Order: sequence, then C-alpha cells, then structure tokens
Amino acid sequence: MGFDRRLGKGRLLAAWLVCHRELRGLLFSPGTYLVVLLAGLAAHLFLNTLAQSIADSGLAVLSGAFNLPIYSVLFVTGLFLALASVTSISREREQGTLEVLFYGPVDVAAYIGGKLVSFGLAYLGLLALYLVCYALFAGTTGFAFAMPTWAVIGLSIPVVMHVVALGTFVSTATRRVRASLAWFLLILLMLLALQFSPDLLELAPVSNRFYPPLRLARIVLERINLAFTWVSPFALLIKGTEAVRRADALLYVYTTAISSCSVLVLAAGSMYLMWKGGVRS
Amino acid sequence: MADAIRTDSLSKSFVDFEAVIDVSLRVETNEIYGFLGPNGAGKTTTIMLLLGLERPTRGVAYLLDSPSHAREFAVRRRLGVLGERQVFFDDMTAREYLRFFGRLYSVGRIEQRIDVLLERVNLTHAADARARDFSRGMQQKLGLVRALLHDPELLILDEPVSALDPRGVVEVRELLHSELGRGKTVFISSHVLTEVEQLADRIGIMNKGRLMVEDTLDNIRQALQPETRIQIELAEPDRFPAAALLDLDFVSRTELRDGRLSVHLKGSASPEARAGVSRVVSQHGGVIVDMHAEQMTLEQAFVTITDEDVERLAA
Repeated sequence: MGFDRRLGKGRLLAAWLVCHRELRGLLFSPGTYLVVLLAGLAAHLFLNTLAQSIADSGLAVLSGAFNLPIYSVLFVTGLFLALASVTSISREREQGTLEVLFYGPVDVAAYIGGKLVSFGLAYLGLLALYLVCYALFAGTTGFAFAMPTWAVIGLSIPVVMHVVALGTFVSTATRRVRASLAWFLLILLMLLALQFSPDLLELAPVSNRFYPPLRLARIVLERINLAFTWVSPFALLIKGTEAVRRADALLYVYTTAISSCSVLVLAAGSMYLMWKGGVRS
Repeated sequence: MADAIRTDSLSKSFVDFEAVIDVSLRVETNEIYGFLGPNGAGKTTTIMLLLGLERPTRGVAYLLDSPSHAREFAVRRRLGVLGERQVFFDDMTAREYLRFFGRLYSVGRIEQRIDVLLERVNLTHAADARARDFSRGMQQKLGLVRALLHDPELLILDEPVSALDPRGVVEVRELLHSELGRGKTVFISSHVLTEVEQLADRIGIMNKGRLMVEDTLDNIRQALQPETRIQIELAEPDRFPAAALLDLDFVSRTELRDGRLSVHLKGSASPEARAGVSRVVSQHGGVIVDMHAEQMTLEQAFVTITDEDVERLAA
C-alpha cells in the first residue's frame, strides 16, 4: 500500500492549523510576556553584575559573558513551554474543543504533531528574540558570544522539546488540567530526585552507624539513575553541557540525538494514548 | 437508495455498564432521521461511535459507506456535526472561529460563505463578537453554522434546538428543510419531541442502550395505537346515516354523540382514509363543518414506547 498523498496533505493542513491556533494562543497569553520579562530581568542581573565587576576590577571574571544569562533565559522559557504543553491537551479535552476538532478532518497524528511543532516554533521564536537582544547588547558593550554558548543554545532545542514532549504525553494521559499538572510535577520531582539523591547521600558521614544502608540506597539510586540517564531530560542536559565543557563532540551529538529520539518516542506514545483513550473528558 | 448511516450490531460496554447494545440502525440518503430516547438511553454514545470518537466493543458503524475505525479525511469532510455542548476557542470571535473551521475543511470563498450562513441564522450582527460570550441560543446557532460551513452531505445534530427561542427554532427548521431539499441527509438526536415530529421522516427510539424501534411516525403510531379516531362535526348530524361509513374497509365502527360523529379507523388516519370518509359523508348529503383526526403525538408515542409497550414493539 503506497503513501496516500491526499491524506498526507490533509494531515499537514490540519497539523498546521492546530499549530497556528496554539501559537496564536501563546501570543495572546500573558504568561508569554511574563516569561520574556523574567528572562530579560535574569539576563540583566547577570550582565549588569558582570559589567560592574569589569568596571570595578578591569577584569572579566567569566570566560563567556552570555553563558549564565543564556542558561537562565533558556531555563525559564523551557519551563514555561513545558507547563503550557502539560495543560494544553487536558484543557482542550476538559473544555470540549478537542472533541469539536475531531468531528472534522483531524486525527491524532495531525493534532499531536501540530501541538509539538507549535511549542518548538514558539521556543525558536523566543530564542530568536533573546538573541537579537543579546546581539544588540553585544554590539554596544563589545561582549562576544563564545562557541560553547552557541553549543548550549543548540543543545537546548532538543532538550526543551524533550520536556515539552513529556508534558504533552502527561497531558494526553490525563483528563483534567489539575491532574496533568500534578502528575507532571511529580515526574519532574522524581527525575530531579533520581538525578541528585546519590550525590546527596554521598554527603552522609562515613562514621554514621547507618552507613551500610545508606550506601546500599546510594548504589540502588545510582543504578536507577543510570537507567534514567538516557530518558531524563535533566540527565541529558547535564550530560550535554558536560560535553560542551569538555569539547566532546561525539557525546554532544549522542546527547542531542537521544533527546531528539525521546521526543519522537513520547510523541508516538501521546498519539497512541489519545487514539486508545479517545478525545472526550 | 444507498444508506447514509448504517450500523451492524453496534455495542459499547464500559467497566460497569453496557451503554449501547446491538444497535443496528439505518438512515437513508436524503431523509431526516429523528433519534430519540430518554436521558441515559445511549444516544450520545451511539453518536460518538458513529463518528469514530469512541471505539465499539462489538459491531461496526458506517457513515457514507466508510467504517468508523478507518475513516478517511475525505469522508470526514463530508460530515457536518453539531455536538450536544457548544464550545469555542477562548480568544476567537464568531467570524474567526468559522474562518478556522473553513480553512480546516478547505472551504472556498470562505468569507462569502460565512456571511451567507450567519445571515440565515440571524447572527450577522454578532460576527465580530467573542463567541464564548454569546447566549446559549446564539452559541447553538453558531455551532450549526460551523456544521454547515463546508456544505456537508450528512448532518449529525445532537439537540440542535434545545437552547433556541421559538423564532430560532423556526429559523433552524427552515434551514434543515432547505438542506433536505438540496439532497442532504440529516440525523437529529433530540428531546424536543414536537420538533422531531415536524422534521423527521423516520424515527429511531433508544432505551436502555437498545434501539427499540425504527420506523416512520405513522407506522409507530399504528403499532402502538391500532385504532385512530376521526371526529366530525356535521351541519345536521341527525339526518346523516352514520352506518353508511361502515361500508369502508378501514372503518371499524361509528358513534354519534352530542351532535358529533366519531369514526373509528383500523390503522392511522391517513390522508386517503380521511378523504374516503369525507367522500361518503358528502355522498349521503352530510355537510362537514369541522373534521379532525385524533392521533397519538410523538410525545405520547415516546412515553408509550419507553415505558409501557416495549415488549410489544420489540416483538
């Protein structure tokens, strides 16, 4: 059976309209402007501190002036888009607009695909906005974008999409906005705990009489963490930034590839869940 | 004529109950089909199964010869659906909302089409207002315009007039009749029985997940009420030989009481039957001042079917 061109065209149109509507929603959302404001304030704080320190000592204390501002901006924006994706589908299901869309020529592939693309485009749009601002700032101060900064910006795209795809998956699996948010936050906390708990347990004093159980817990958590290394967006982000720091191109490519694959797997999972569970609340 | 809708033993079970049980219904092309039943009868679940938005436990549903489990976009473009609940995108005006769906369905000359339909349901004045702020009646009309926007072959309407005022009901009725005149098929699920009675060619009645009966209203009446009565007011009742009417095959008995002649018919008071009675009365010199048939309304039939005569109809 060959590829149905008409179906493909119809699906692309539906996906584009879903994407367009979501982007429009983000454009009219106060949250978007709040995030831009927060990102701007964070960047201002870091750059101002840096400029002040140069003025005071005559020395630049950081290798890349834009590293910390960019990290903070990407973190805030990524978190905002993740939360938007978590509530997006469950809200539509709760309101009933999802059902109305599916009366017509829209299927799960077009819908989930459209949603993910919209968040990706929103992220790229905001990223472009930040970069324009930084370019203006760089032009007036003489600060330059270091190569690692560009590498982290590149890494942030699949990582943010990974978190967004996770949010979309949770939103598809749940039927109410509150349940989506609760599950998403629980998963994030669990991933963070898995990420950092072995290091925290390492801090426990050796003389502690509970040392053997703590060591056992640490070993168990490390093993679990190892399994989650290739699933958790946090672990991938840390691995990716480590690759940038060590200038390890292979690890960098590997990390971004794994993150991109996770997006595809989570997208396919979301489609399956919606197909299986239906579009009604 | 091909069927616009056909289901074969369609069933849907949830964890703790069976919502739809072995429903086999048939809606012919270019007819208005009324789908009735009390709350919880399984009407909306059946509609969801027809649309492929719920997956059946057993059986299959065909819309325009396309099975619900593998419905192509091309077929979906031929359907117009008005859901039970009207919902709108938060930030869109009525026109933007219709424009969005017009693009989704690839409607040509979209602005023109929107203007024509809004005019027909008397919503032109609200075209640029936010749809979510509309009254319930206006939202229902806007939902209907959305369902009609792409000129679908088959309309599936769940409670299309429940929130409308009498004027709105008339507008929608006229709109649906004109769609029927253009060769469209309309499937209406409704609680407004008088409306369905005026609109529908055939009726299906659901109860407790089962399709109890599917037929024309006349046939349903006949099944539930084997005899009907025609009341005739005559100018000079005492001079008219009422027994003359017994020569007609379909008349079972006559009664003359208080100056009014009651003619009991075997079966429904069809136009032919009424014409036959009228002719005999005239032939025997009777002058009819008033004549009307006492027929079971759909409301009476509905109550009868769902509460009393289920066994008889099923048989």
